[in-house]
Amino acid sequence: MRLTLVPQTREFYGLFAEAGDNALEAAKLVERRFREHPDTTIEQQQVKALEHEGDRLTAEIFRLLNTRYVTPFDREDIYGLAGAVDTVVDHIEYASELLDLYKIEAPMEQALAQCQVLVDAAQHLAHALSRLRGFRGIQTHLAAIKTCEDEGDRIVRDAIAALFEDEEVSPRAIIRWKDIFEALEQAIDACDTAAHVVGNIVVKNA
Amino acid sequence: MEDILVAAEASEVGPLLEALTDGEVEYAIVERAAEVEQAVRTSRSSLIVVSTSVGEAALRSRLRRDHPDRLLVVWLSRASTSEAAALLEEGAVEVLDSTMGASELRARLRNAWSRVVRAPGDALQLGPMAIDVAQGTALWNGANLGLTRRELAVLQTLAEAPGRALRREEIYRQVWGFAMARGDRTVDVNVKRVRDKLAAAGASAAIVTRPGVGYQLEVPAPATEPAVTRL
Repeated sequence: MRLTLVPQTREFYGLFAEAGDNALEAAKLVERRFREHPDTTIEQQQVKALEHEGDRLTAEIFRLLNTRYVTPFDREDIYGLAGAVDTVVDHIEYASELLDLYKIEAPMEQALAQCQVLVDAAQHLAHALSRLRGFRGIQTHLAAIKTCEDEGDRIVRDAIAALFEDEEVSPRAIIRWKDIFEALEQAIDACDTAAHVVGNIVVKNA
Repeated sequence: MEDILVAAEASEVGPLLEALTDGEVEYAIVERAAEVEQAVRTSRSSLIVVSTSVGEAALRSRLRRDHPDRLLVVWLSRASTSEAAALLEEGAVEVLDSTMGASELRARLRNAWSRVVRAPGDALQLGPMAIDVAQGTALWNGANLGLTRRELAVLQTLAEAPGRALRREEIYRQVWGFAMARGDRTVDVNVKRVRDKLAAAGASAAIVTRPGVGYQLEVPAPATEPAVTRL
């Protein structure tokens, strides 16, 4: 039997990478769901399944945290990052659910732009999470997520302004779309929050 | 199924039949006055050409009264500007005669075809397309397009503006009753669905996108294989 003195922490890296891929998949699915709405073949159930997968991965990270003596980063950072990535998927799933809940007839262009930014942010987050081991090139992705967050802020401001440009826009449309714009914005913000946690980990461990 | 019903003696309306055949327009012809009303009842043609030699003013009056959804064009057996004016005053959508060339006859029929006729109630006739909001139906040559309430309202709004492109905001306000928020794609989605259903029904009508303006409904004059049906 081969013995090693190096602590076995690979499972953490693998699980974070999986969680990043899962968040990216959820973002892509929801972007398609919005873009193709109302004729999309993508069901909310499919998005919900990814949210469940995110929960499973988070629970798995917590389980490891409770059973491993040695961890790759501080325990509270692992706990914070797992929770932050899970929150990204939760917000994505919620924004998608509103399409059905509010019986949205057709998408708005601003929401489609938000979805695209969300996919970009999730893509960079997935890259960052797959580079936790050694942190090679990770800063580029963290900076890109910040750019996405800025772009998301700009779009949501314009989107909400569009709802109030004409006093005769239906109040129902305003309520529906303001909620959806904000839900998508929270999903983008959640990517940025997760990026901040990664940034702190890099500072402590690089 | 014919596109136009002609109530006239074939020998008298030779130039018209020639123009229709050259234009690949299907028509049916009924030559006896006694059979005209029965032929109109059984025909689905939205455009009827009646010769003055076949029926008197009373026949045309009955046709207009009993079939308000049909376009009535009158063929003047002897060209006369004063009589043509009187027929237009009487309610004919167009008056044709043998002095007109084939291209002029086709052009005048095309114009007549694109005329919207509103029947009692909410029914709207545009060429072979019949839109009845009260009934919740849109028909193409009698076949139901299967539109939803919103799709029907979008089509009706476009049909009520023949030859004119409507802005998305204009369509939204008429159909949904509110101002359209910038970026809202509701009109686009509904237009796409109506287009799909028109295409599925094999309709030659099209909702055309006018860049920078909006959408316009075009119902071209029929252009099918030439065929003559004698009644």
